[in-house]
Amino acid sequence: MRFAALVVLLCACSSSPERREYRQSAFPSAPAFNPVTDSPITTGQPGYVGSPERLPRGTDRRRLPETPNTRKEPGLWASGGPDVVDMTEPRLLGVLLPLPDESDTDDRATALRCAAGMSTMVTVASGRSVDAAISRAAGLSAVERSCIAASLYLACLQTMRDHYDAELQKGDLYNPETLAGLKRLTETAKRFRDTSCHHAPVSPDGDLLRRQTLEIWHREIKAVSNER
Amino acid sequence: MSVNGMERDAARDVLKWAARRKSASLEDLRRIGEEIANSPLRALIVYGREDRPPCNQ
Repeated sequence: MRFAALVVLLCACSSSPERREYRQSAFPSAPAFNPVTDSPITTGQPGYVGSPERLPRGTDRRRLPETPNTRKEPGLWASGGPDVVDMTEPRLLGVLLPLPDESDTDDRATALRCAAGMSTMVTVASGRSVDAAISRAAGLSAVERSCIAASLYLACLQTMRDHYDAELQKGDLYNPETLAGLKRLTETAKRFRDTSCHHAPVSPDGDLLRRQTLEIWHREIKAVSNER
Repeated sequence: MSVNGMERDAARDVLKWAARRKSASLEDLRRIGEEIANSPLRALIVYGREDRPPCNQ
């Protein structure tokens, strides 16, 4: 009962006229917003209809996001892009081989022949399946593919040169330009191999592919040589 | 896609090419290019950029 009387007394005090007047003065209502005096710079704000102000520009140039016109990687239709791979260049295991100038048709044809010949051997070493050979090559790093391709390419050219020397020993007259071209190509291939394999770690899979391919290569070259 | 008995032909082609008695002509170059273009091995020879695996990988 005494508690109820205390509650009634407190309620009566808090709702007295003096108390209500004090609360209203402590929380005045917000003044009306005048855009002319309260916010003179309104360029770009909603409702602005005046002429654009010339604001000072910073010297920092913002890096804009790329657009289809500035993007460098090939899009869906990569074959139409400017950065497309030249499919006429001979590659072995996806590695571009060192090529002589296009005007040197003899050396260029030799490089093509070696790229095709060694690609055949890689395919045979991969169970005679092109798809399997591609999967096998794709499983290797670019660095070791480059080293393996350079080694195979050099082996092909050395075989050609050795064969040419052997035929020369038999007394057949050959074009001296062909021999000079083979020597030139072999030297270039050797430098390519040395550069590609310098500090190039070759994985066990890569080493196995190289050994299997060279084994088949030498076996077939020996068999063809015995046919003659 | 499979190939059979191509290794012997490839070895023979390489040795035959090494033993030719004249320089290659533009016609020779075109013919070899066509051989490679029509070969099932073309994908392996030219399957793409060095650091990019083929699309089906």
